[in-house]
Amino acid sequence: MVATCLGFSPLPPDGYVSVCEIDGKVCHKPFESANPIEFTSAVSGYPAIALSHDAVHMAAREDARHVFLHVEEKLLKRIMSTWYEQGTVEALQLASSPSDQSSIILQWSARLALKAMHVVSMAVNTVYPAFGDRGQQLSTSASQAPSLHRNPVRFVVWHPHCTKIAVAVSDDSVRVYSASTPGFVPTLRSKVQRSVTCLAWRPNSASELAVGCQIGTLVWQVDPKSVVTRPSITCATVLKRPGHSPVTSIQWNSTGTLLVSAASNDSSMYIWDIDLQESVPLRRVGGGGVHLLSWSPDVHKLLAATTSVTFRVWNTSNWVPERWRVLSGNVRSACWSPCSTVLLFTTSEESVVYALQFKQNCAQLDTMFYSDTPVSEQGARVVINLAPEEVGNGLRIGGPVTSMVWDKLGRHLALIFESSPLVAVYRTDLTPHLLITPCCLVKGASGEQPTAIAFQSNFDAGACLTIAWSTGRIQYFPMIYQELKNPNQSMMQNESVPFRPDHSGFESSRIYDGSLLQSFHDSFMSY
Amino acid sequence: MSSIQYDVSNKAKFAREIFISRILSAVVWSIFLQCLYVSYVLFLMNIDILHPLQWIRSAYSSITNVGTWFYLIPLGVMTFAQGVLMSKDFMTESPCIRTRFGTICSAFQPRNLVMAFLNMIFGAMIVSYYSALLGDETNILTQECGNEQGKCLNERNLYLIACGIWIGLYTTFQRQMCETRVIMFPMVQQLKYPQVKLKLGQLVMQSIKEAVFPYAYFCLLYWAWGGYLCEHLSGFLGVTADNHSGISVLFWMKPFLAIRCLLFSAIIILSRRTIEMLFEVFLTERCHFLISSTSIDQLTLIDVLASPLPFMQRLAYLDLLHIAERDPIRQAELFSLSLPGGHPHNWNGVVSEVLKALESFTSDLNIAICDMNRASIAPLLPSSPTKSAPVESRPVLSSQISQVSPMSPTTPSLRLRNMSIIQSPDRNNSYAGSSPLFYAANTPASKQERDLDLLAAFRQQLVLAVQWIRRKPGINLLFGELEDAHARYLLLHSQHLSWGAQALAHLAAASLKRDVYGVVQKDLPVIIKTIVQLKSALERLPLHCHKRGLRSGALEVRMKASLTSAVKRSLYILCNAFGPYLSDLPLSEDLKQVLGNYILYKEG
Repeated sequence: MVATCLGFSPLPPDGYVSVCEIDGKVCHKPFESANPIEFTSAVSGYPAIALSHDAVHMAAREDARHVFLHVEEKLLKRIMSTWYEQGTVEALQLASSPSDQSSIILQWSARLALKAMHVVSMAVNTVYPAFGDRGQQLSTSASQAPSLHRNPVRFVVWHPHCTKIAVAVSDDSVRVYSASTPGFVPTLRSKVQRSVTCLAWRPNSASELAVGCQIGTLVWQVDPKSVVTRPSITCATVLKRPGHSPVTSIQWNSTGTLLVSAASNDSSMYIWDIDLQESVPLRRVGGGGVHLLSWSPDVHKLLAATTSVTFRVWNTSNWVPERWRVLSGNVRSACWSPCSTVLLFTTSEESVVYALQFKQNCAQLDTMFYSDTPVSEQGARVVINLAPEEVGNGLRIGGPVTSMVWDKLGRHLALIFESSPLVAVYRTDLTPHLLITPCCLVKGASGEQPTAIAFQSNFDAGACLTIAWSTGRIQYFPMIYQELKNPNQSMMQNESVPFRPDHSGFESSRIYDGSLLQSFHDSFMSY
Repeated sequence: MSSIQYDVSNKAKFAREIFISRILSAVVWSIFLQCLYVSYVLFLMNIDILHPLQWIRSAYSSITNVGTWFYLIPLGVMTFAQGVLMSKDFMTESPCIRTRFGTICSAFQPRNLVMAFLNMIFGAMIVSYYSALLGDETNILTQECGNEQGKCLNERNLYLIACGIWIGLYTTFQRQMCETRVIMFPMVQQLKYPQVKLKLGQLVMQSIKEAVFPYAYFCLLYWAWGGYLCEHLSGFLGVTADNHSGISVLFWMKPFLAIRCLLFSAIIILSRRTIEMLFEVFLTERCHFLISSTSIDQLTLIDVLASPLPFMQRLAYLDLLHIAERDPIRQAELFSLSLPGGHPHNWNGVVSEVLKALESFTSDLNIAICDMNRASIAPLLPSSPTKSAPVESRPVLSSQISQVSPMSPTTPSLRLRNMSIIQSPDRNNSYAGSSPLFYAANTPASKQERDLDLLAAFRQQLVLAVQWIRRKPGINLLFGELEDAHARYLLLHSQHLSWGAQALAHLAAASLKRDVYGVVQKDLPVIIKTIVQLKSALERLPLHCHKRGLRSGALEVRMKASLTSAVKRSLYILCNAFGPYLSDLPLSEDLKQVLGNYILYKEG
C-alpha cells in the first residue's frame, strides 16, 4: 500500500484560502484577510510579493510580420528573402509548396532536399540532440516551467542561509527580495538574459545567484551592501558553451564549489568552477539531452535526467553514472531527502511518485558500520499513487506532477500538478524508514493555479512553503512545530495562539480525521 | 636520533616511489598513445573511399607490419627520455623569477639545453619516421643528380628535417619562457580514461593551431638562411647542391610540402602535449592516505602534508579536503585520541601543518603587496644621478628626517609622493657626507669612520648609477624587476591552500557533531584568525580581473579569485556552524567585527 490523493484535511469553503499549519492544524481565512501573521510571527517581516500581469513588462514574442501589408513578389525573390530571413529549411519548404509560379522540377527537388535533410538530422540527432528541428522541439517541451510565458512568475528560489528570495519573472528579469531590506528590490535584467528557466543561489555565499536562460548561465553578484537596484551585466559572469543551450537546470553542490548546468538540447552536462572560470563536460551516449539535475545534499550523488526514459545517478567521487530507465516519458521533477538516502522522482506521463533508496536509512549514516552498497539495485518503488481524485468543492488533485519539493528537515513534501489548482503537502518521516502520509492541501484564491513552489531553507520553526500563483501572488505557507521553536519564538508564538480560534476562520485538525488515520495506517503497513 | 632519521628517509622514499610510479605510468601511456597516433595516420594514409574493404585491409597490413613498429623503438626511447626530464618540473617547484633576463637565463639551464637537444632529435625523428610511413626516404639527404654525374643534396628532405628540428627547438624554449609550468588539479576527479579521451580531442585541435606560427617562423628563417644551410651542408657532405631539382626561394610555398610540414609540426607538438597531459592526469589522481599509522614506516597524511615534494603536498591537501567534505569515518579517526596517551596527535599534526602553510603564504603575500605598492609609488620617469644630486645634497634637518622616519619603506602608502628616498636608512649616509648640518648634529667621527662614510657614499653613488642605468627603457625591460612577479608566483602555487582553508572550515564545522573529545575547540580561534588574515591580505592585493567574460584573466588572476572565494566560503562555513557561539571564543574585537558581516550574510 502506498500513499494516495485521499486522506488530506478537508478543504475550506469557497472564498477561503489556506494560510498556515500549526501543530498539524491547517488554518484558513477569507482571501481578503488572509495573513499568516495572525497565527504565527515566524513569517513576519517577509517581503510581500505580488507581480501582476500589469506590473510585468512582457517581452514581445509574437511575430511582428503580420502587421505589414502583404506584397506579391516573384517566387525566386520570395525564396531568396525567406532564405535570408528564416533559413534554408523554410526556403525549401516554400519552394516545395505548390504554387502557380513554381515548376514541378523545383518542387520535386526541394522536397527531395528536405527529405535528405530530415534523414541527416535524424541521424545526427541520435548523437547531438541539439541539431535541427528536434532540438528546438526538445527545448520547449523539456522546460521545467510548464507554462513558461503565460504566468508572471516562472521560478522562485530561497537563499540557503538567509531570508532572501529570488523570483524569475516572465519579463526575463530576476527580482531579489530580502527580509532585511524590504523596500529595496534589486532587479537583474540584461539583453542576454532571455527565457529564464531556473535559478540557484550559491551556498556559503551571500551574493552569487546563477540564472539559467536561453544562451547559457549567468552568475550574478548581488552585493548585499550595494544600493544599486539595476545591476549592470558587468556584475554577471556569462557561462556558455557551443551547443549548450537553452539551459533548463542548474544546481550548486551543497558546499558551493561547483555549479552544474544542463541544457535539454545537449547530451553533455557541464561542471563549472566559477572562480577559476573552467568547465568540464560530462557526457554519456544515449538518452538525449539532459534537462533536469538534482545534487544530493551530501554531494555524493547527482541526478541527471534526460529527455527520454533514461536518467542517470552520478557518483561524484569518481564521476561514474548508474543508468536507470523509467517506464514511459521522462523524469519531470526530483528531490533528495535531507540525508541523501532517498531520491523521489516523478515522470511526465505517470501519476505516481517513485522512491529510489541508496542507503538503508538516515539513522545509519552517523554510525561507522553502514554499508555503502546501493540498496537501489532492487529498483524504484512507488511511494505515492497520484491517481486523480476529487477532494471536495468540485476540486480534483492528482495526475502528472509538474514540481515537487522536500523541506530541509525532511518532514514535508509538496507537489503541484499539471491540472489542479491545489498544492498537495505530504508529511514524511525518514526514520526508521521512509513513511509518507497525506498532510494538507493548500488552496489559493478562486481561479489561481500554483506555478512554482519552494521551501525556505533556513526556517527554524518548521517548514515554510512558498507558492507562486498564476496571478503573480507569492504566498508563504508556514508549517510550525511547537517542539522546534526556540524560546524567543515560543514566547511570540504563544501570543499569537489566542488568535487561532478566530470565529471568522476555519480550522481543521488532521488528528481527528478518520480517513487520514486509515491512510497513515496503510502507509505504515506498506513499509 | 638515527632511527628518526631512518623513518624520515624511509617515508620520503615512499613518497618518491608514489611519484616515480605515476611518472612511469604516464610515460608508458604516452608511448602507447604514440603507437595509436601512428596507427591513425596509417589508417588515414591508406584512404580509399571507393574500396573500403581494400582500405581496411591495406591499413591493417601496414599497421601489423614489423617494420612499422621497429622504427617506433627509438621514438619510444626518446619519449621516455623526454618524460624523465620533464618530470623534474613537477618534482620541484621552480623558483620565483623577477626579471625577464632571469626568465631567459632559466631557459638556458643545462637541463633545458639537454631537453632542447632531445626535442630537436625527436622532431627530426618524427619527421623521418612519418615521412617513411608516407613513402618518402627522408632520412637520406643525398640523391642522384638530375643531369650531372654524382650525388646532390636533397633539399626537400633537408627542408623537412630542418622543420622538425626547428619545431623541437621552438617548443622547448616556448615552454620554458612563455608557459606557466604549474600542475593544476582538475575540479572533478574523473577516472583516467574519460579524462584522457576528453583531453585528446582538445589537444589535436590545439596542436594544429599551435603549429601554424612556428611553421611560419621557420619559413621566414629558411627563406633568409636556407641557402647558407644548403651550401654548408653540401660542403660538409661533399656533395653538390642540385640546381635543377626545382628548388627556388619560393620552394617553401609549395602547398603539399607546406601541408606535410604543418602535419609533422602538429604531430611533434601533439606528442609533447600528450606527455604533459598524461603527467597531469596521472599525477593529479587522488591518493588515499592513512590518518594514523600502525607501523613506523607507513606514510600518513601528516607526513605527506609536511613533505618537501610539492606534488605530494598537494595530494595530501586534496585528500584532506575529501575527508573534510565527504568522509565521516576518516573524520572520526582524525578527531580520535592516541592510544596509549590519549593525545589528539592526528588533529594537532594536521592543523599545525595547514595553519603553518596558510600563515607562511599570508606573510609572503604581505611582503609581495608591499613590494608592489613600493613599486607603484616609485617615480615613473627615469632620472639621472646628476639631476637628482642637487636635490639630495640639500641640507636636511634632523627634524625633517625624524618626521618621516617612522614610516617604514615597506608600509603601503597613499601613493601621494615617493618619500622612500628620504626614508631609506642608507640614504642618511649620503646626506651625512654632504651636509655639514647633519655632521654637527652627530658625534664627531674619527678618520676611520670618515673613510667608511666615504666608502658608503661611494657605494650609494654606485647603486644610484646602477639604478639609473636600469631605468633606461631597453635595459629596464630586460633587467627591471617585475613588481607583481612575486605575488603572481605565490598565487600560481596556491591551489592547495584554498583546499586547506576549506578543509579546516569543514572539519571545524563537522566537529560539532563528530568531535566527541573536543579536540578542535582549542584551535578554533587560531583557525579563524589565520583565515581572516589571509582574506585581508588577498583584499589588499592589487591584482584584478577587469572583464567578467569566461577565461578573461590570466591564471594568476583567476587563482586569486578562486582563493578569495574559498576563504570567504570557509568563513561562511565557520559562521554557519559557530555563529551562536562566537561570543564565547577568545577573539579580538576586530575579528568579531569581521565575522559579524559573515553571520549576517552581508559580505559579498
